Amino acid sequence: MTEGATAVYIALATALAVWGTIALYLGRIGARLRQLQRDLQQMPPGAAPPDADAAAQPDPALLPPSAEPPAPSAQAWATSLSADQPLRLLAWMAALECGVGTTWLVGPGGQCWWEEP
Amino acid sequence: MPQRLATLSKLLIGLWMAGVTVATFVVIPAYQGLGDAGRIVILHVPTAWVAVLAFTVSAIFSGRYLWRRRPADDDRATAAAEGGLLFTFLATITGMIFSQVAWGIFWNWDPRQVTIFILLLIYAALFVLRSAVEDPERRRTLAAVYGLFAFVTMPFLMFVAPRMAESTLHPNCAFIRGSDCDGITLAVGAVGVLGDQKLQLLALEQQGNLVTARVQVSAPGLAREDLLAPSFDLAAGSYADRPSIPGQRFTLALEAVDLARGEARLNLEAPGTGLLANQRTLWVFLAANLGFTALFIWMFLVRAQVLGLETAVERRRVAWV
Repeated sequence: MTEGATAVYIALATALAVWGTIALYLGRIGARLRQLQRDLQQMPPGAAPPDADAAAQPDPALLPPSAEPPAPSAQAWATSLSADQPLRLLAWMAALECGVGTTWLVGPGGQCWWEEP
Repeated sequence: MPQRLATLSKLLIGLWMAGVTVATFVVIPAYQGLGDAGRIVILHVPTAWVAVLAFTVSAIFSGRYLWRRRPADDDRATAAAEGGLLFTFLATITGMIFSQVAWGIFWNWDPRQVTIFILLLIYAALFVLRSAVEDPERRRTLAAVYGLFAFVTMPFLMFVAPRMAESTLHPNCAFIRGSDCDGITLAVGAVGVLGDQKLQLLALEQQGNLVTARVQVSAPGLAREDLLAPSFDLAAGSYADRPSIPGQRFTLALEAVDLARGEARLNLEAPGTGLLANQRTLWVFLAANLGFTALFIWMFLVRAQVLGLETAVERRRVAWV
């Protein structure tokens, strides 16, 4: 493998590492968000503890008593986020990046396919 | 409707960043002197930029918390600082990889490497502080005050200190022009100092549109002396060949010539200087900045809401007990 080709692969690996880190972070906070929303729904204010009333139905309309209501946009972002969405998105990007767009279009010298050799 | 817009926005960010990633490898030409390692810059600089943005957002919400005393502001300040720390970490790692490929060393205590490392430590200490204080009110107040002080150091560490350094591998002149970036103008036979190198312009030779300077470069203490021949293209109005200075990671550039007066302007340049002069590189770079900023906003909104919900769940748990 030439030095130029090595540099391309190192740059590709760097890009994947960046996306992987961001995907991991988004996945973790997304999962935590869903878990907290579930917890909150299971503990409506004014209801008895779960041992006394295990069949209590959660009220999704209830908001946290102390926290400020989130801005509509933030709420919308949060509720539509699932833990594996960013991972799927990033996996798709990685496939696009590695499989379609780059490794065999960029030659060892960094030559793009439409450029004159 | 808002949920659809949110989903659409996330999809757009994904598509945008996928486009940026592909463009980084197929649209941008390999940069002379850096080759394919130059592509890492398209990731490295935007992550550093987003870190600056995140720390600024954190400082704004820290100030708002001290003013209004609303826990939601503290949550937002924390979420932004966390994002800033993550992006600073990414900027450091991508910079280290770039440094290894381009300059042959992961870490050489370059002024900018040192300052970003200090910034990492300063903001890491914010989270240590938060975890060390149990009382929520006191924790929020202390974190807000510390966050403001940390922010004051950020512009100095990110922008001022690295540019004050006379010797750095970073291409300082890519974005601003300071006194150290102007190079020195020498007449034939004259001697000058650039960085820690002594330069003597021995001759200027013209062949057609190409002017070549014969320059003797001496390391400090005359540890070594080398004869280099940087050249300038009169037709293009820019340098043609920039030889590397032996034993250094800089190149010697002939930036301007005045044949009538027998003068030449010489400069030391780190590889990467002028990277954004290429239009394709510039547009992909700007697109990457935009995409990373959108990613940060996504992360910030979700993380701030998580922090708010954590407080709410904790309070409700306490009420139940």
